[in-house]
Amino acid sequence: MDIKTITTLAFLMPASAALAVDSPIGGTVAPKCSVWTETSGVYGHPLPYKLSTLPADGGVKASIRVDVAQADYYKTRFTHPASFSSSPTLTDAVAWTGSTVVGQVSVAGMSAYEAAKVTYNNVTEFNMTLAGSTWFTVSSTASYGSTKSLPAGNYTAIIKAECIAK
Amino acid sequence: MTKVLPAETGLKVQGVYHKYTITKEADTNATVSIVNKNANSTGNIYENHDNWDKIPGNTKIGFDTVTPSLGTLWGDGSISVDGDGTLSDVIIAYNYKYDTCNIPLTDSSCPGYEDALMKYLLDNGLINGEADINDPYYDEWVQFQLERKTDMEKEEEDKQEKKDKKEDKESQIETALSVAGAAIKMVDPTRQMMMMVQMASAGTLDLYYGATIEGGTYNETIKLTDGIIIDNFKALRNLAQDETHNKMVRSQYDN
Repeated sequence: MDIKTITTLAFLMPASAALAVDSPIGGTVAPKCSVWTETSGVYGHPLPYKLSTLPADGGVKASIRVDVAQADYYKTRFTHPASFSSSPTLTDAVAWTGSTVVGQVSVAGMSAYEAAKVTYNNVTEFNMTLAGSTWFTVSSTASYGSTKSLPAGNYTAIIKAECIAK
Repeated sequence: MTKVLPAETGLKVQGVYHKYTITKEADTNATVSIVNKNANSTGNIYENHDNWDKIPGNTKIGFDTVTPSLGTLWGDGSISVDGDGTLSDVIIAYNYKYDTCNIPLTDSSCPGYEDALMKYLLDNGLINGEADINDPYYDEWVQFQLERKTDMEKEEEDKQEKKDKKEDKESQIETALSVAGAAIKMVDPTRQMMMMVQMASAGTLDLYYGATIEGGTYNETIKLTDGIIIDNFKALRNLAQDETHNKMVRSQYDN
């Protein structure tokens, strides 16, 4: 009787140990679209009330590169500044203008992005239909209180560049 | 391409970088071609064509990775536009690599330099025949041999010096051990323990510390029975002899 009991237990134990197993599956999602600032913009100060990134005004346009590894899965959105992120205290309104254009391309067909871009408010969107690198040039101009002199100090504004899955 | 690429033996081209700006209308057609002829045969060793049909002109930047091939195979290169468009700000750059020791004789630090030098000297009859003193490698060979001899002598000296130092060190250790034998015994914890055991063994410390004195009253045992104490003549005689002795000693100094 005792021998039978021991034998039964010996068979049951391995069966119960393999009853349930959690087997994980791992994976990593690498970014297929990335955004890089190649040249930071600089405001020139051509007039007392004006700040501008145009080279003619003594400024430097920002150059932002977007690398797309997978064609036709992403769009990029650029928001040029509509306010200063840091500045001396301003008591009057600032009028903002700006633009984003295709600067350089790594594939000739990307030159068509410019004609197909969508612009609204201070936002410009591009449909990234080709894989490769595209350089976008962003400009920004700020005019203070019509023609009022800007207070002395440091001014900083932010360009928002995004890569959005379609 | 001989004017563009270095004339290093074994140089291989592995990539082509280009940057150009094409100016054209969006409704026209144009194709930009970057080409390198094959120097050893007909046809091209590299071709890159960009189709700008019906799109506006722009600046293009590109880098093509190519299967590494000898630079000597790369013939003249060109960039041209086929269609309506003009090029400006053109940059074409070639990415290449080469083994600086492809010819071991170029640098004495290259592996196989000695063998290559020897082969060169043998091939040119500079060892068995009469050496050409005008040959630039002859001086190098002589210099190499001199340096080699110097190196061997130096190695021998270093070896002897090392051996002498080792022997001297061993001798010092032997001397130290010979005089330090007692000290070693003293600091040896095992020996110290044995000494303590011996000191604490029966017959020495144990008996002294282990003696038992019983308690109780110890009464006087000497009694003066008749009340008379008799002089100790023996002691008096000793005292008289002592006095006589002292007089005899003093008499030596008094006279």
